[in-house]
Amino acid sequence: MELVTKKSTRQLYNKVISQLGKYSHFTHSIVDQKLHLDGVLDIGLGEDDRFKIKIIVDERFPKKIPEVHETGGRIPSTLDRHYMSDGSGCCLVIPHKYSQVFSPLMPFEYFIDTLVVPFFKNQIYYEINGRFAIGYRHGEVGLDDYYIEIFGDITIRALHKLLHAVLADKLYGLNKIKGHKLCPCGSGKIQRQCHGKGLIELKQYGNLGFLHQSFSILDRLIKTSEIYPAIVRDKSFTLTPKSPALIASTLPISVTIEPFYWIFQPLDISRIGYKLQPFDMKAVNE
Amino acid sequence: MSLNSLLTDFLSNKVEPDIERDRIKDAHIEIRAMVEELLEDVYEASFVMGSYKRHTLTRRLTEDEKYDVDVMFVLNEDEDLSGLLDTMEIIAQSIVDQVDEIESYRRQKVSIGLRYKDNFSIDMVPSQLNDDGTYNIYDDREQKEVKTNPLKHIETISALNAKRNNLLVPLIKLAKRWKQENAPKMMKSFHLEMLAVQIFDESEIPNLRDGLKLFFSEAKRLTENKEKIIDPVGGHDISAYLDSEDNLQRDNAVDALGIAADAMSDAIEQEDGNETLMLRAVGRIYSDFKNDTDAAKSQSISSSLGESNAPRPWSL
Repeated sequence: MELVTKKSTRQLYNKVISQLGKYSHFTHSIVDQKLHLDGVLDIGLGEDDRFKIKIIVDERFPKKIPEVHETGGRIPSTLDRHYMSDGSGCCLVIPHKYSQVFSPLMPFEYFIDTLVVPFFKNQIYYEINGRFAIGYRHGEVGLDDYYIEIFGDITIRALHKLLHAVLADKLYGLNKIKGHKLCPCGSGKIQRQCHGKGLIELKQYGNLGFLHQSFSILDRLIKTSEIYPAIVRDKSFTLTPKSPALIASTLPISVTIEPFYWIFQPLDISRIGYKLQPFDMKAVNE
Repeated sequence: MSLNSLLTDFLSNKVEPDIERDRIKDAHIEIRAMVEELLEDVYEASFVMGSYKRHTLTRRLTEDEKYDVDVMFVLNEDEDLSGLLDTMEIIAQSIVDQVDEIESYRRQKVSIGLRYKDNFSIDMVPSQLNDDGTYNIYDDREQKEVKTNPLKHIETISALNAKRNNLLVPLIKLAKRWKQENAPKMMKSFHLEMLAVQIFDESEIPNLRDGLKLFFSEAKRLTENKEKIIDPVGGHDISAYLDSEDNLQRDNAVDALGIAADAMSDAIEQEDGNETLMLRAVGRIYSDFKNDTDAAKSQSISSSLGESNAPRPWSL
């Protein structure tokens, strides 16, 4: 049997094993210095709806979310099922929410209760209804779903400013986020009467890497639209539950590499609320 | 039980319409004769058309619904087409007074519907014959003439059905049943029929199971890619109605077709494995396959995940 070489990691794994609680029937082994926990997960919905799973914990836990795999071959490896075909397993939670629902002080049993059991319950719901009871969409659009959830419908510019403030606080401790200060969105209201709740949530729990990624996408979008005046922004320049999908799916990386990619998608652009003027190639070339 | 026999049983027990064809035949012959007599000067011909004639009618979901039997009345081309619906309405009033089995009439988009006390209604569609063999009907809501050729539609479906071992019509019925349950206001029945024609004009139908899987996945692809579904008559795009201002109707149709396509894939995957999971997958398309236990589970999951601050799955 493989042994864990690093003492601190060994202690961490022992702690995890001792905290399995009602999941102590899970067997454990070490593979490539990672703790593998294997067992049948009973989510309380009857015999037909138990899942064979494997949880892989590495030395970065609890900072890093453990991988969870369904090993019975029941869940297809597709993004639609939030089950990654690249081998990383179940997509349990948006990073911004992870530290909000699970803290290092909680026993490992709680991790399974809070993050793993709901995931598999949601899978049963999907099997029955063809959709999840709750869930975000994939990729950046899922992040947008989350931003809409905490901020409500919001313009791209306002979200850009809010994320800027959160990053400034998290990276440089600038203390921009305070209930009595003016909201960074530019509404003229104080934060607690505007986007304060969402700002505090993001400041406290937001994952820095993903915050930065979202901010960069919005930044590129706004800068690109400023460079190319063929695009007019107006009041309809608003994120709605349906539209961010299109922004993120048409824009992210391609904006920098291929700036005109999304300009030439008139239908999609109209769907996200832009108004297109007749496109003048000469103006762009200049 | 195999998926094919499951679908075949479902088709005959739940999807085939519960109609008495002889009773309907007597009724439309009577109405056609009355209209001919009442409109002696302008009447030229009449024939039964629509899904009843194409044999693609599906069972109604509730007792209140009535089966529509469309009858085309070809009238004199010298008359003003827009006024023919008014004329038909007057005729309908007279027919209602004379025929006890009819409870009322209703003015509709292109027809006057005679509602029988039985489970059907006869929709009288006034039309005029064009030189090229097509017919003009009048759309009362849009206030414009529409070119159509119901005989061509009947012929197209009938010929392709024969070419596809008589599996096209059953598949269309299964597709329409899916629509009744999952996309009643989202997609039009005739659109689904023409989608099936377009898809199976090129592809074989090995059996109901594989045919249905192909139908949903291809219908999703065609709808998502905004490919035109051309009416064999008139050449216009039958799917154009999906493109509302915000495109939500098309998005919703794509989503619904996608769910059905995934469900068929899952059902096929589980056919030789777990029967509970196979039935669960088919239940995502046809609620008859859902069982009470699953409905209760679904309810309990929904409330338990909804009430708590449950983490939402998300993938990068």
